[in-house]
Amino acid sequence: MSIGKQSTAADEAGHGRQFDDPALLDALESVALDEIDEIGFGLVVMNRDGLVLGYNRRESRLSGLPPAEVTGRNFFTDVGPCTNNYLVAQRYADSDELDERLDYVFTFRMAPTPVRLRLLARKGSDRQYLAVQPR
Amino acid sequence: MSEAASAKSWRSARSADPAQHLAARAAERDAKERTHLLQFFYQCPVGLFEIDDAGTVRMVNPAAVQLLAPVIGGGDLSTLFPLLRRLAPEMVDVITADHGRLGPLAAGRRMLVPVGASGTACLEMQAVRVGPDRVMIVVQDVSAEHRLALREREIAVELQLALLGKVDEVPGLTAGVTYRAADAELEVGGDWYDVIALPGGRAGLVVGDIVGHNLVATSAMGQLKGELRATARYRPEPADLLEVADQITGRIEGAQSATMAYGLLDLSSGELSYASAGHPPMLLVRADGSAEYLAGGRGLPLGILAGTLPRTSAATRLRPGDAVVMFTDGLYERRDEMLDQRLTELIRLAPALAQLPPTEMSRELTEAMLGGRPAEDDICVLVAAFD
Repeated sequence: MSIGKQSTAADEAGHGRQFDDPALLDALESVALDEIDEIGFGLVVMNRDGLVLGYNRRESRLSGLPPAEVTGRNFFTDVGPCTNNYLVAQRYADSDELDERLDYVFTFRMAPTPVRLRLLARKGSDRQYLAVQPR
Repeated sequence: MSEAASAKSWRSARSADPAQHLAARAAERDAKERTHLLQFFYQCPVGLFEIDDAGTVRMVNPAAVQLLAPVIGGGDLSTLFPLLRRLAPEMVDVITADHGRLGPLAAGRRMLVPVGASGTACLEMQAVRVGPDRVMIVVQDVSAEHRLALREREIAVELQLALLGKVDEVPGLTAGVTYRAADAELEVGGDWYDVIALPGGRAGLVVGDIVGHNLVATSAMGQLKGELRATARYRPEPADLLEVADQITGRIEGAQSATMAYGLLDLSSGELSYASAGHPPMLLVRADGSAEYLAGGRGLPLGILAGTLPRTSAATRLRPGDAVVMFTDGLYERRDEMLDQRLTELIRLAPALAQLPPTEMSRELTEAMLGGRPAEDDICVLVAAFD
């Protein structure tokens, strides 16, 4: 079931999955916040208002922002303001159910960094996700 | 150093070596400062780029990406010049032209970028050279200012049209006008025209242009036009009227250095006396298809050296079917072409349109001179046909 180097119980919960996995959203819905550091791409877990619930190690390393500084803040306005436009933030606001990929540029440590984003949200869930993969 | 690591070293330092303890404290403070600095740039609401002279992006903040993302597409933003060439090509020239000059390199350029499926935002971009091989690009969302500027333009156009109003009906004379506001954001202002019915079967013909483009210019135009209408009744002769106009402009804010052309037409004889205060010449289009610029009676713009040089006038005689075309410089001035060529073009076009009624002729002449391009300045054309 899992797409990873080694199959463990944690993989079954989703963090061994890869960025382009078609079933990524299903897996993320069942992943616990203390497991997200094992995921091999940047991941931001938010509530449906955009407040950061989880900020994984990979994302923290890319941005230079410690998870403790980020958790509880609004991702789109406070943490990653470069996404606060109709291409990213507005997509979450407009959609109950969302699974879209787009090429974008992040400003990790002030350097323009081309990334691929995957915007994910499940209808009825109280979480939404932003997956980030340097390209 | 991660937070966990620094906390650990801090704990161990306290129990051991005081110097190590201080070093750990300093490292922790540095890490906090660095986080705050990053926050500062992450949350700065103005878009910032630092580029080198080749356009390579060294640093960029989130606001810059947020604003420009719709036009970056799937690009990588490692270099800014391809994007600039698309949005504001002249900025690349400005940045690469003079590597020695520090400070703002030119006035901010405004550009419209898409927002969602239907909307647009107006961004202003400015290049500031901060050092050798270092240029900051500042990007701001000026959509609100842009909307205000467009609203001010609308108000200026409405006010302009209201102040221009209708011209007098004069037996023996058929007049037609075209007024076309500049297409640019803030370039609307003080052109005016007038036809004044005067005692003794005469008519005063006026076209003028106030310097500047804003509501001050428009209101100055309204005052000057009104005062000249009143003055022309008792001092209708061209040299006289312009001398009075020289005095009037000194009292009206924004009216200094206005230009105007004025003609006094006797409708029984066809005698036309005329004078110009720094204004483009009138064009006389004869019924036989010939045309000439009326170059006499020229003087300085209004209010300049007022009272030191007497105004002069010149005269010619119209025959039935002749028409006088008066206009502002917006009709023929264009940044990329020689004035002489444009005036030659005008005198070539006008006779072919002289069979049209004056209103149509003024409109067709305006369209022909624009040739489908946007109006860079206000255009005012008055055609007065002697019946």
